[in-house]
Amino acid sequence: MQTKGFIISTDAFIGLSMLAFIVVIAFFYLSTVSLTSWNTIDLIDASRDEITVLEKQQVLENAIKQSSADLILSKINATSDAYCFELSIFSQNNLDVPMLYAIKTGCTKNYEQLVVADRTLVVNTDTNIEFYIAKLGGWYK
Amino acid sequence: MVDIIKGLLKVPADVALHKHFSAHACGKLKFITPAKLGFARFSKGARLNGRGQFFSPDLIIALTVFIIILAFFFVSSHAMSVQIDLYYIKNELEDVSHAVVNPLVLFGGEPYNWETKSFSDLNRMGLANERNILDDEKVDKFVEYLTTDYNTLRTKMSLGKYDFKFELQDFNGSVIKEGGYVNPDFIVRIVQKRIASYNDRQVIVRGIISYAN
Repeated sequence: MQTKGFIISTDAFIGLSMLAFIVVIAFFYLSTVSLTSWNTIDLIDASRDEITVLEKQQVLENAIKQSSADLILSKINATSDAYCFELSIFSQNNLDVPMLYAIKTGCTKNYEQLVVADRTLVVNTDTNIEFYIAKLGGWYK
Repeated sequence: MVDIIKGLLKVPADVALHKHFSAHACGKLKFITPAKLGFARFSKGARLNGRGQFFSPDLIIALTVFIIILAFFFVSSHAMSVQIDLYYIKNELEDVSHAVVNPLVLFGGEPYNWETKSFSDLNRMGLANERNILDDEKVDKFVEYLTTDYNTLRTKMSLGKYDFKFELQDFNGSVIKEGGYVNPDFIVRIVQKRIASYNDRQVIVRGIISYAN
């Protein structure tokens, strides 16, 4: 203990310093709090919305009939900048390799979180009925 | 004896210590150290006034430090509670925004043909013909109600204390339709975006929910 001065013990000084440090750390963490769980829900919603719109606007069906992913690409390129999408369409005969594939321009498959929404399609061609599976993967840019 | 005590305590000459140590007590006192009076040591400049109040520069500095620390913790705890409140409001707003915007793009409302009926017949708002496919007439009517019956519609949409603005945008950011209100004094604002089809166009439905005190 010092004979003079207002800091009368090292313990008190260390205690106060630690308290101030804890408060500063608490402020830092409070300032970085974000509602990330809602981001996941938003991403799921966006992916489901996108594949539903593609299905309802018959983009998927037309792309299969034309055997071209250009129509799909033009639609997914027109989505919000925050999202990245890739779409794969598998034929019932081969579920390993997609018959059509499109990834949004400017997006790379570098994500922390991927959300997949899928649809089963029934396409009526001139000769028969064929089944397809469309898988849309979505992630934040 | 009184002079000895005065000298030890460094008190001014005008301090009447004899009030505290009377004459007959002085007879019994041989020597009183400051420690016996409750003070281990007095710093330079310490004063004991006539009413027994003690002042010293150390005491004033210590009190100042104590008050500063106390004020710091009051201010910081208040700021923390504000941050936590804001977090809860944001979370509630996210919840409300999802609950409000989801039915707009996924359902047709209750009754389904509410756009052909009067406003009082509307039970639940919905803008879709089918999932994610918006109905032109429903959108027009909704925008109209947001202008003419904003507060009643807000109640019907279970928005409570929050303000709501609806925007229909294309992917270039151009607004196709809009209605409602964003409180300019908002402290929290959440923008809920959904993808939908409107007149065979791929559009963004934006629900902006704001809260002001």
